[in-house]
Amino acid sequence: MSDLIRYQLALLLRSQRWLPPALFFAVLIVAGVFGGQQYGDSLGWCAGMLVPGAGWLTRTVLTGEPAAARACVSAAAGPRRVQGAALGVALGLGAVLAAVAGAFEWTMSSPPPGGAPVALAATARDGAAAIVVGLLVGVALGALCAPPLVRRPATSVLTLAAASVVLLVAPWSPVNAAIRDAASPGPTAFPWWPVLTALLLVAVCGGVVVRSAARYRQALG
Amino acid sequence: MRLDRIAVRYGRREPWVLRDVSLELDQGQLVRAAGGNGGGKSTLLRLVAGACEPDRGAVRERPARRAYVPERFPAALPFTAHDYLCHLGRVHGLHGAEPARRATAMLERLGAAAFAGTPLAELSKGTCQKVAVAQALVGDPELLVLDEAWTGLDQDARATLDAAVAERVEQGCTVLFVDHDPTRLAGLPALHWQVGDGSVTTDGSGPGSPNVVITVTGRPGGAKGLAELVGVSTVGEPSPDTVRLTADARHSDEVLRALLAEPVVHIARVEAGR
Repeated sequence: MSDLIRYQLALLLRSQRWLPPALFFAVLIVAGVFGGQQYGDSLGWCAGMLVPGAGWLTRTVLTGEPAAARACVSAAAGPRRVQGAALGVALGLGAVLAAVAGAFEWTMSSPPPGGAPVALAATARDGAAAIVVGLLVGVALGALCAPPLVRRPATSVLTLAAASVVLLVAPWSPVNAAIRDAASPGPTAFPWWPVLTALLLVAVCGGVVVRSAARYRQALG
Repeated sequence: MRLDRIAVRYGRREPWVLRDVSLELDQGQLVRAAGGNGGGKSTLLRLVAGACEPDRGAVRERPARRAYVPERFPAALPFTAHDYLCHLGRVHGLHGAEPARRATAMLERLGAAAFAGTPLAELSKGTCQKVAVAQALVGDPELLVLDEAWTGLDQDARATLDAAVAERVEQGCTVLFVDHDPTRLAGLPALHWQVGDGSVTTDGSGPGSPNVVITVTGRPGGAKGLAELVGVSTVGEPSPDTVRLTADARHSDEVLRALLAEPVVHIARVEAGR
């Protein structure tokens, strides 16, 4: 598996196809900075923007290989393992983006006014949980919005955009819940529900995408 | 390995490309697949290679080390030829310095050593195809699937690939191939799969029927008309003025009589095939 991950990672980094989604995410993060935000709000913003950011990145990783080259690697290693490796690369690279963006948001933020000694540790914990939820949901969404499940690029990008918005605003969405938890000023319990839902979501979507990779027979050429 | 009642289609409303196909492939077997365009040859090849799975049925006992060569290899990969072969060598299960060593050796053998450091995007179509062939041979496959792999190769590289296939078969590798040239690998005994109308029919030299390989010289017109003789499965011209044909052992007497009836023809060699 490590050889496949190495191949997929090299394929992505050398092709520079990672640049558009990474820049898009960076612009969203910078656009959210207007000075004097509180820690919880900034980390929540970062978590929210990870949904379209990691989603697009995942889609980019999964579509990065020409069909004939994918067939060669799939014959050697099995199409499911190849798809699994690509998903792993998307998750890893998304985690790097999330960590960098989270650290950036933290340095740009300040504690809430009023001087009440709120537990910064609890805020950081809830913020980190929200970022993890945003990352996992983004990767799950990106995996669903890529071939073999959604084959047309236009349909796929529109679905990705619409679903990102819905996942951010719908009150039942784990991302929405995690962001609300991160931004709430009072002491809160650890957001178990959003984290577990996001883990379940990424596991189910990842499983579906990996399984369907073996049934995907695109025309070569 | 065997294909167990497999069926494939490209969408729920599409017709079946292959339907209820059951086939067996023995170790060390050379199989030539033939059939019209769009008849499902390439799909069948990719199924056998393991690049995809059927909608129904299953492919069982596929060998562990598999390699596939597509007809057109994409140049849109951000690697140099050597780097790509190293990556694929590792995917094929090679470790340490072995992938780099074999990549260099394989490019040299195919006459593309000068392009080892060239990005794939800058390679000519033929050289790209050499890289595709090299990635398949680099890991000593037990199952090799070639989808018109010879197309685009120069004469020397074609001969090298012919020799490499013969070597692999000798070492027990199962080889399935498609090629437009009917004399391709004609010197080797091969099973024939005829693909079309959703089904695959097997004919020619099956494992149950022994073959005779007959080498003939001096025949005016070369191989012309020999493929139509009853029992003849493959006809090839390995060198000018030499025709080699593989005939079913049951029909070999009639084939030899027909050849000897032509006064100028010499039978150079008759040997048992596999």
